[in-house]
Amino acid sequence: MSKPQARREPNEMMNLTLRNALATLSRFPHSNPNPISKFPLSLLSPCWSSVVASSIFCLSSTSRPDNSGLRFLTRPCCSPPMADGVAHPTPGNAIDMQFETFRTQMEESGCLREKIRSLAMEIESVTRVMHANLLLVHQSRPVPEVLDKAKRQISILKDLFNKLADILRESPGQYYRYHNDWRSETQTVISLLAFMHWLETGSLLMHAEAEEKIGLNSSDFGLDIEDYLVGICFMSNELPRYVVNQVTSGDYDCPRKVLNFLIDLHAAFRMLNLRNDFLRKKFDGMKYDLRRVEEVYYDVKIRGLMTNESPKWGTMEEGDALEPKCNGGTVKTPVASNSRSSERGISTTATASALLPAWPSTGHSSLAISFTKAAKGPDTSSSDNALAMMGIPCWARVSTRTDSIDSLASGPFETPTGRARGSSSVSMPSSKT
Amino acid sequence: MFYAGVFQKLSVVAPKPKPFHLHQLTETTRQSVAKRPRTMTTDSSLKDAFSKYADYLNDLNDKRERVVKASRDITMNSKKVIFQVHRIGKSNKDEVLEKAERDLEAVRGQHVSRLVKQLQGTDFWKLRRAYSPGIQEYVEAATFCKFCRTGTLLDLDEINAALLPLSDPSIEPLQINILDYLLGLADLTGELMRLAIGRISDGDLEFAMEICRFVRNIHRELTLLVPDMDDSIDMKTKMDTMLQSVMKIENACCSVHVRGSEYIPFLGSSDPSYSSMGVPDIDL
Repeated sequence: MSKPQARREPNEMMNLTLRNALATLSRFPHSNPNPISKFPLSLLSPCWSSVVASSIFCLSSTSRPDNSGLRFLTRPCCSPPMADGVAHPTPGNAIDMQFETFRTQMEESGCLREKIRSLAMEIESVTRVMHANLLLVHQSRPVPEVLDKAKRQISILKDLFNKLADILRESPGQYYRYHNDWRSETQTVISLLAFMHWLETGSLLMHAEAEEKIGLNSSDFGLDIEDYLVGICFMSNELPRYVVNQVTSGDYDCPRKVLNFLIDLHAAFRMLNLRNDFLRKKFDGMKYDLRRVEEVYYDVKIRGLMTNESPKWGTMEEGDALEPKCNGGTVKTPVASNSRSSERGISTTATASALLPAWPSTGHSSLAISFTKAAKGPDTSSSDNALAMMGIPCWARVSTRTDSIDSLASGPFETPTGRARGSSSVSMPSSKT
Repeated sequence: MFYAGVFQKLSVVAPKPKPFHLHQLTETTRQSVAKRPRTMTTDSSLKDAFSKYADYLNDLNDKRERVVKASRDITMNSKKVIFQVHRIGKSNKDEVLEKAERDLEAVRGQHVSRLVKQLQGTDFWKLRRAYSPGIQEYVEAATFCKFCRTGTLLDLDEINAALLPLSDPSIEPLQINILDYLLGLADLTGELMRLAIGRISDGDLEFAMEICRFVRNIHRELTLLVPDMDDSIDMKTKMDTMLQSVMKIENACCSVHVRGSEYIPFLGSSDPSYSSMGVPDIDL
């Protein structure tokens, strides 16, 4: 059985090259019987060009290969000398040729991929530095200083992304072929940039702005929208932690700002129709962030730590109107209502403070004290009201005030929890209702 | 006491809070209204931006779904072509192959062209996962037909040349990329294995040997390419299956060779004595 094979080998090979030649010729619209001049020898690897050239001469002498059934052509053709029939058992070196091309292509793409991966890792290390700098914001370093440090990394990032764009420009149309190699790094970059932007301006970094910051543009090498959206979701994951730390260090306005922002963001995200993919999972995570910020906000609010309240749905504006509210007649009224409500117990206090604009007199400890004092009646609680009534302006009620109040009320007031709360000037420890 | 007096004062003052409070409220409301437009514009720009993102995502996902549907049609019909080719017997080779080629042409003309239309010349790599299975199946069917016709491997260039006319000249044509081609080839070896075993049972040993050589060669070539492929995990599993197929064919050929005297080739299944000959217990 092997014998006829050996005899067939050269002819087979010839026929295969013929067929290849025909196939390549058929691609060209002007193929004619004698396409020698137009035959793109460059298409084939150099070692085969001679074979092909010889096959072209054969073309004119042989009719179109008629491939019926499994009988291979046995027509005599000029054939290249075979070293030995056994050493080349392959049914067609045309296969080899094709795979040779494939090998080079795959090697190239492998090379490209490695370049991209190394760039992506560099991006990642720069991102880590940026992230580490930004983490200082949780330790209540002043925002501008933190941002400054982080911003210096942006130019490096821009550089790296430009390099990436250059690499990919060489293989046009293959952005998405290698996209997964730099995808997660890009998402992290976007999340950090968005966080920085929010720290600076309180607003969301837009897609176009983000593109600009890292030096991309949509026509050439753009920022994928899904990457951008995932990056934004990652940013929202940072916010609860930021809020918690800010509150701990005494910035009680932060929860409201963050809450407003997150509500907006979440509402905007709800406009999207998402598939059950990674983006959807991240979006689902956002509502837990929202919930945590809401909890912090609630904690701060019911303890009356905030200067003015009402998130999105409220009528109060942002910004501190501390001084004006502390003036004159307005001093009395909220105090009175608070004292009234404290008689009725905790829940009313909460309700009252929820309804009212945050009058500074509701001390941060009002809740704690109300717990303990509700039963004890109004007498003891009126002490603070008295002080408030004396018209001590809120801005004067700093920590020292706390001490004086505590000393006044040391007996009846069991818990020094009020004092334990932050003692920044923003909080109003003075009046314990 | 001091406190009591104060408290009385408070109770007197008590009813007042509301009007004051409301007044205070309205004041600040006015202030906030004045400042509100700032927040509102941020809101609306956010909404605008996100409605654009929503449109983008909707379009992308719709396109992806349509591509998936087109791909499924291609898969189904290519499989039919493959089954048709499997019906090759001794006597009906030509008819079977002709019908198969006609069907393949139909797959190309109807279903692949629909895929091309859905893709509209863009997002070839972005949506590759959506249409890759269909294209792989198509490659499998086309190479299968070609092999049964001519004993040769259908080139990637050849197969792409056939796809060129499907696309509008103004848009970029769908060209099967090397990865899908190789994945389709890997599946081809499985079908060839089935064919080889079937042909052996039918007595067509020559063809089985041919298939054996062919498949061995493909396996050998692919082993060099697999590591460099993108997401080579699925290809690696296919390589394992491919090796199994190659071994099955080789074993079958070996038994045929060893039992050569027992086999009477090309007698056809009409020979009763032949059909009950020691056909090796081969699992298909």
